[in-house]
Amino acid sequence: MHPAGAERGREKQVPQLAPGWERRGLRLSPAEGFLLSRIDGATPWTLLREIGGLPPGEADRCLERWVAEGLVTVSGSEAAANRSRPGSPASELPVGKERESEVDPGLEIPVEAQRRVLLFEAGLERPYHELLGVGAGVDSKTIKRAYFQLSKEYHPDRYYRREIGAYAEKLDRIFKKIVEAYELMMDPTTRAELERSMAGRGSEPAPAAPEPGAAPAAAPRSPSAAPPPPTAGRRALERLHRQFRIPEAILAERRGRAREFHAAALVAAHKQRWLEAAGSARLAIAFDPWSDEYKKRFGELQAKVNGIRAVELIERAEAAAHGGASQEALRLFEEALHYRPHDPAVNARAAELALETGDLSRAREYAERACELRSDVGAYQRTLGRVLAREGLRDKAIAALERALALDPNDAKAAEEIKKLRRATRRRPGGKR
Amino acid sequence: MSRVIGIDLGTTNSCVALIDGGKPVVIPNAGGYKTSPSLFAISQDGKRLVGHLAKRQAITNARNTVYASKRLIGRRFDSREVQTAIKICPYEIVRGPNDDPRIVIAGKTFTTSEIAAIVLREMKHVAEEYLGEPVTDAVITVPAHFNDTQRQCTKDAGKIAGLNVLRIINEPTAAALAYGLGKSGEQKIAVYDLGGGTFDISIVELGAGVVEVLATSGDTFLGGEDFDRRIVDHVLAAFQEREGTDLRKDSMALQRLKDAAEKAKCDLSTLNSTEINLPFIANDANGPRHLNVTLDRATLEGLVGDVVAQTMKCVEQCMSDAGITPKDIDHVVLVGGQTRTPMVQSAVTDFFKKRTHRGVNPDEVVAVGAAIQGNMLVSDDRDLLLLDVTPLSLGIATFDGHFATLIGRNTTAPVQKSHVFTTTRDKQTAVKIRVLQGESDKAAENHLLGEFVLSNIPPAPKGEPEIEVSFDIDANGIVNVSARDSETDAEQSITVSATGTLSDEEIERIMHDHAQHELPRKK
Repeated sequence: MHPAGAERGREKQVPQLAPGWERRGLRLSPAEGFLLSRIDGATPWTLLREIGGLPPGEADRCLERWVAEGLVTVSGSEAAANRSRPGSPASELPVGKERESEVDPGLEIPVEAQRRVLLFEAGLERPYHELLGVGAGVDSKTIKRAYFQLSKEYHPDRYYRREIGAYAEKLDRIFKKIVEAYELMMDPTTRAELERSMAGRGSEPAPAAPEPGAAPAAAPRSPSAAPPPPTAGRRALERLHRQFRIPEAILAERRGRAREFHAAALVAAHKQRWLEAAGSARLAIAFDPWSDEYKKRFGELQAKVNGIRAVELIERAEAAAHGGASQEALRLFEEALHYRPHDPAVNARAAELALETGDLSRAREYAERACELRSDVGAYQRTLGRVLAREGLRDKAIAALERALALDPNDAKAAEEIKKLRRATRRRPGGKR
Repeated sequence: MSRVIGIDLGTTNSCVALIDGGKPVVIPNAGGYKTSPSLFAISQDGKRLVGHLAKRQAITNARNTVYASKRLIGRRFDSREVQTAIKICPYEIVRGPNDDPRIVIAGKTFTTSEIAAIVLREMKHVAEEYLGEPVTDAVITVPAHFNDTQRQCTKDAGKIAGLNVLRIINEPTAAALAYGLGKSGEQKIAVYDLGGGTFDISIVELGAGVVEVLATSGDTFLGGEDFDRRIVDHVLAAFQEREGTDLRKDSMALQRLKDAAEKAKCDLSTLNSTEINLPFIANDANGPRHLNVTLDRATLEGLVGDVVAQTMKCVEQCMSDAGITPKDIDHVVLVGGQTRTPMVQSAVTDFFKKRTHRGVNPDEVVAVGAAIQGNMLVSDDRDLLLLDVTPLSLGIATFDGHFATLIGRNTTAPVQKSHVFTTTRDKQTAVKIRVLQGESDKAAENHLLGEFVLSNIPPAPKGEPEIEVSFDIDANGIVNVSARDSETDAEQSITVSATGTLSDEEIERIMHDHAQHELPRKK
């Protein structure tokens, strides 16, 4: 045990999750779970200590324990950074020394096939078309053929009831990825999106990670639109980006994840599942905070979601108003205004209900806003007039009601209100003022 | 290498096949028939009857004879299918403790899986007698529209019957496999399956030995028995007109007439005219009465024309669902004994403007396909691969009662997909994840597979927490659903696919029960 912290030389080492562990079976505290989730095969020991969220000695103890248990392996940072560089076809990837040790002639899967599985697995994060081994612009028939061909090679059924050890899990992982690639490539919407992001990546290199110690403001294209509030994970990620050089492979992987979420957002939007779409777009930003496109998309989708929420709130508000629950109706209209501050009709309804509940200052505020937003609607002027009348501002009230009458000469209610006000004036000369 | 049998567990008839020396063999039962009725009965003296024996007394002992129980398997008692069955079946259907339909005959209550198990055990015995050795591994087929619960109940039935069910595969897929289609290039195939009690139409696509179901549709209460019923009614009316006697109340006469009607229907597939001849069908003041009616093909076609038209309406619907026209179809495969009727064949040929595939017996084609798939899994020759697809969409219920699909129907397994959801109330600390299966946009209209709660979400304004819900289906079709809060990494998960309507203990108990009713077999 190393009560004082990490073993000497750990600092530069990069912890990596050992394959084949069912992580769900572990008994971890949330804090330990978080630390475990930060291990991505690229973040060095020192950084994990920083971002793990555990007291200094604790993170080391935790990591050491996992290393001792075999859950985590450590290697030099170089090797980890070079692992599975996306973009290079699997056929060019040699099966590394440590991978060659995974080849086991004792298994019921030919050694050649084992090598192919290892190679394919190493290149699992390649762009989808490369994964399927087709050109970027091929037709769907070719994609389907490639998919069928790969299925025959990598579908777990191929080795049904054979003793293939760890390869069962590898095949499972590989096949799932093949299905993912196939589905995204076959759907015209996601396909177009994938191709666009591919093209973008080709012509405009990804932002280089800033040098260690660079000022936060120097971060390229730092977010200007209001992104969602950062979670603990994101904060740590941003610090990482600011202060340390992150291997390009990891950045590319994160951008890949962002592309996937963005594609998912588009698909969800296509199916009009706005909440899902906005959620996915937000996740895309989380993985690639530099993309203006994702931010723009998130903005659009969020607007859509807000619109839907507003409609729901308005419906509920009208129902409450209909049932005589003015107070509740007002609250709901105000909530709707939170999503749709510039909707004159909602402002006008809020004004009417505030008037009913006797909250005159709010009623006036909403009524004035409604008239400001749409000066050509008689009904809004009438509402404003009624509010002003209740406030005792007779002249202003009459002026507003006259405007209402001018906009809609058939507005009997406005005419009636004016008459009432004038009568009151006659009875009490000089009025209240 | 152990043998794998393929079983077509049909609504009215079942069939078993295996691969012997590289060739499919459909195994005849002791009576020489290659299919056995999917019937189970308890006779007046308490004997258990299966197959042809049960069929011979089905009408005289109608209250104690179970037929077409496949319509009920894995469904809820309140479902439309079960309620319809209650109206038309002479045997009693009651609500089980898990809201499942249970069948009561001769004072005993049976689950639908048990009834299916009795039929499956019979098929197992047929295979064992033929091979002279025990058989345990099997591939069983189900309609393409069966959901996970129905599939699991069928699997449970296999287990009760002492079978190790390697796979549950779709009937149309099996039929396509049996014809060895799709070995060269991609092809779209229409599988028209008109069986005894149900009709299914499926469009499947094959390529390089890989099969995918594109669309499926059908009618659970339409099939060859409708043909028989029409003939029986026609003959009854003719007899009453001529002899003045109504046979409708006489169950023995009806049993004879039903058997004869089915035979006449089969005859008319090859002959232009046939006779239904039932001597001593009734007795009246003038002595014994004999029934003798001539039936020709044109009369039959007049009687059942609307039934055939109804199947073609389903076909059109299915095609438009799949977004394809008859021109896109490369092959048409006919399945089910009823497709031997020339009128059915010409209706299908006219619609698709294509010759239908013959060669494999339409009663046996599904069992043959199942045997091929079984053999494919265990043999050394693994040229063919069947890509299993999810029959229905999987997803979760959203707060507003909608259904958010995570894994669409016809997605190839194994597969993993995840999506991010969020909370709908401020400071919400728990979310309920309801896992559903179905195609409706409304959660309530889909089938609930399971539910669980993810709690301890740190309080935050609504819409802010990120909850990643993942669906994972492994190669054996087991569905695992997990939800993870990205802030705390707290995670909850359930395995949902292993939910038939029976618990493991119940299956054990039933297996033990049935062992005592084993008929002694000759060794």
